[in-house]
Amino acid sequence: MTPTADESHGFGRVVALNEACKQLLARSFQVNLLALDAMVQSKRGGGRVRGFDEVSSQMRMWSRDLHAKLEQLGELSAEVVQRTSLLTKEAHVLRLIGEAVRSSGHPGAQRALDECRDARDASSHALAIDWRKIMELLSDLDQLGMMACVLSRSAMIEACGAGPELRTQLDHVSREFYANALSVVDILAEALKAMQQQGNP
Amino acid sequence: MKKATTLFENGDHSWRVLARDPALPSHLVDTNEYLISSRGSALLTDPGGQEVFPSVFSALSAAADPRTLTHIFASHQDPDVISSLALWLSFKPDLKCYTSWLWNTFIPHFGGTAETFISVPDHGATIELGSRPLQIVPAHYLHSSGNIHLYDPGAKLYFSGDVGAALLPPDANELFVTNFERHIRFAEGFHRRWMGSREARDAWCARVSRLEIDMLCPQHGAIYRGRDVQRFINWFSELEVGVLKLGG
Ligand SMILES: [Fe+2]
Ligand SMILES: [Fe+2]
Repeated sequence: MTPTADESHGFGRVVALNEACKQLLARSFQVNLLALDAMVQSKRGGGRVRGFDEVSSQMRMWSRDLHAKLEQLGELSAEVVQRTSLLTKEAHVLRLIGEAVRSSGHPGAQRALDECRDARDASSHALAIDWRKIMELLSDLDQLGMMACVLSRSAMIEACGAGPELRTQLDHVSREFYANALSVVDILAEALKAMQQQGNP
Repeated sequence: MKKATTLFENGDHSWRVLARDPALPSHLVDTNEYLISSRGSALLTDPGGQEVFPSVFSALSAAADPRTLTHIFASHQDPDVISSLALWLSFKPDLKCYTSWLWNTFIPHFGGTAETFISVPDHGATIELGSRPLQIVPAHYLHSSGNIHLYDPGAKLYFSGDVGAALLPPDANELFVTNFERHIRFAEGFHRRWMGSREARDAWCARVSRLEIDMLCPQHGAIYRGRDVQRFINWFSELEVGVLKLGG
């Protein structure tokens, strides 16, 4: 079974997606821990940092949303691997039966070829639907990334309201929030680029 | 999907086993795949049949970047060992596959070109993965006439293909042997029938007894650790093999 460029690119795209998901998962864990720590710290700051406490808990919810979306992406990615494997096998059978048709010209072989082509087209269509769902999820994730940037800016502003003993710490946390949010946006942009380099699904 | 479990990790050198897919259909024999990584290169032992490829690929992707995969190791020619080859090559056409020279023109029926295969001579070989030397150990006639195993002296882990294999029932499907006496019952029938040569078995037992092995990792069933490694070798050395008694 000699692979075509198209088949190896199918696996290449899903690998680019999986690698991005791993990095995003690390960001989600990091923000969750940061937010937890920030919530504990802002409790110590009393009423002056209630706003910071609120933003931190929103960041924590954000990290959970990110995690949930990544789980959905993980399931879709496993499905895409399954469909790409099937498509690769079907494309191979199609090539072999095509050779048989060319060498024999028998109408029975032609009918088998037509059936195989239908099966391949159906698999191809199912795969395209999965990729569309993945692209929608990636777009949702991009929105989440933007939202986290806005939230972290609010955290920076709220940190200014803290007393001098907490201000530096909370400012540091809000900058960490921001760095993670920017990373999410960057990782997604890189992943889309890497996936495009493997061709359009 | 299968799950990846780390067996050994020291810096950039690691062994992971991909095993136990709860969704595996019961008509397929369950397999263990081992991913050995060192310095940005990786080798996958007995990558499995084509039906399990999606599960192995997804588990491998969760554990490591599959683009680091450079080599496949086929202990022998069976379909549960290497019929997924064409799919792996679809993902990465320049993958190289180590196999006994005996199967040079047989395994390509599963896929690959002349450039894909690295022939291993009967006496075995030492190969490099990343910065690590790995020893290919001869295990011919156990059970295949051209059969090879892989020993990693740095990790002290030994991939034993079908030797040590056990066909475990779903309720005893543990990843590591915890009760040798109970476990070995599930290995006995397999070894009596599949292992065809007493001489080959004796030579193998003598050969591996000289190696320092922390884990003996078969392609099917549970992994032997610590003292269970030598217990298995002792048990195997006394087992009657290569005899088929047909009932009347
Ligand atoms: Fe076998
Ligand atoms: Fe096997």
